[in-house]
Amino acid sequence: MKSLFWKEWRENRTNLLIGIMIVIGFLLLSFFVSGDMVDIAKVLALVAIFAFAGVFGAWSFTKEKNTLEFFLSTPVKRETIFLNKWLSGILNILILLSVVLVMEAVIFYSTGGFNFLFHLRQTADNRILAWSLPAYFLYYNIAFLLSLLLFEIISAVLGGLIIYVVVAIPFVSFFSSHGPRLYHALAWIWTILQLIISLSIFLIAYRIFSRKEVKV
Amino acid sequence: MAEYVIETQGLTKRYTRRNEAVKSLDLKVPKGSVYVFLGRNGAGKTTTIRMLLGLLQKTAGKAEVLGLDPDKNPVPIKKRVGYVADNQKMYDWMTIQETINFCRPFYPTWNNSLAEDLLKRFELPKRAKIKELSRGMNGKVALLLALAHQPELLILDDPTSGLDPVVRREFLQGIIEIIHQEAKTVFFSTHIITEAEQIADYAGVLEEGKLLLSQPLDKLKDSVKQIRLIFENKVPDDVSFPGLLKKELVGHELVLTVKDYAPDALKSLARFNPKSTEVLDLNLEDIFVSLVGKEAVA
Repeated sequence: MKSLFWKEWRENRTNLLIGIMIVIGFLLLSFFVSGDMVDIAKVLALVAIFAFAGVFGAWSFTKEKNTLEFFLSTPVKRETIFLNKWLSGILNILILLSVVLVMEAVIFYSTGGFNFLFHLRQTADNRILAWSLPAYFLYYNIAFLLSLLLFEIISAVLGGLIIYVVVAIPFVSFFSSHGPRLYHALAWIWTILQLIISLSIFLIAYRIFSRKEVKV
Repeated sequence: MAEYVIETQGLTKRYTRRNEAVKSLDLKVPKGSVYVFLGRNGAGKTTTIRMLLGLLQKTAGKAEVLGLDPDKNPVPIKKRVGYVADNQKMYDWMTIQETINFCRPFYPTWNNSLAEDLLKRFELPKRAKIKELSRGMNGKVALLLALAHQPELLILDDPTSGLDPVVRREFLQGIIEIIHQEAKTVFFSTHIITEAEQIADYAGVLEEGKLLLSQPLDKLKDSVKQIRLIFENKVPDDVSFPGLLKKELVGHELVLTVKDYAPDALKSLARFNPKSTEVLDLNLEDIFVSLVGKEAVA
């Protein structure tokens, strides 16, 4: 619904703008530095999106701490409210990722690159799809669930990060012990696993929200 | 068409095993009435209202609002009910106009000209942000949102709590005007009794989650009376009366507050030999205090 989406957009746009500025900042930095610093700056841009994925998730319900009764007293189905909130956050993450891809294209061409589609495919395969995007989704979903339970942004961001790290540790340690020869297979297993966990958390959050009571 | 817009039977809300906020509530709100739902803070008024709107799930019992079950049909109910919560918090970053624009699409019956009319009547500046509004103005915006979609039933949960007397009167005046113009059913919860008396024609008293009484205000005032007995000597200890709510002793004067008063029963007091007996009418506040006050006879 247009009205709901407008509200979410207005509430998220400051965070999104800050996120865009930080991501662009790191990518511009990669343009001006050399050697390993180029990759470090690019990775920092991706890490910044990860952090913002947590913020978007944590902000979803925290911002409704005082207004949830008013929101739920409107004749809007709970599933509509829920999906609208969830999709708004996901859209913000995708906007930040799009900024990275566009900026990378600009930098790629301006540094004499010629086959951007090949470069994009490499980036998408290795960094965005296999590593970044599922990680963003997972962290976003955990923070989203915690914000629904706690209505507290710091707790949801930090709690989400801790849970994400706890979930990721077994994979990272396994990857470290087996080295890069299993890189592709493990990356895809981890990707699928993260998406499955994300979906499960989404469904749990949905169930909680559909039964959420506005207590006195 | 249903005779009652709100009907509950054994409605119960239990938060924990020890915390039962509403206890087997049987409530009937007639269509077209202004029903005042009285109770002290924490009596269970807000919990009841939130169950009626599907914001809280009932633990047991039945509830129907406009013939619909709030747990099964919350959205159709909310479309037909105007609701103002106690100290309603709206989005403080929105302007009044933005708040109206945000809510309008949710209601198929939204009336733009009525909303404009209410904006003027309540003297609300469209461009002011919600966070800039006083509590009274905030309440008026909430009332505007509740009325602009022309609901069949208006539920107001202590809408004037925290308002100063001047703003409270203005706010009530707004409600009274609307009631008279639109002939709506209003279910009005409050703990400020004087304001309830001005507008209500039915009253229900809730105490610790239990409905102590529910009846037309006129009938309530006819049935609850104060009997003042003045004695020449010591006041007898064993004075009693059917339906005794409260007993106060001041010197040689004994004041009995009774419910279900019937003039014939006065004869039973003659045996105590009072010097004089006087039956006094009570206002709603006195009745309420008699029913839920600390000195009330259990």
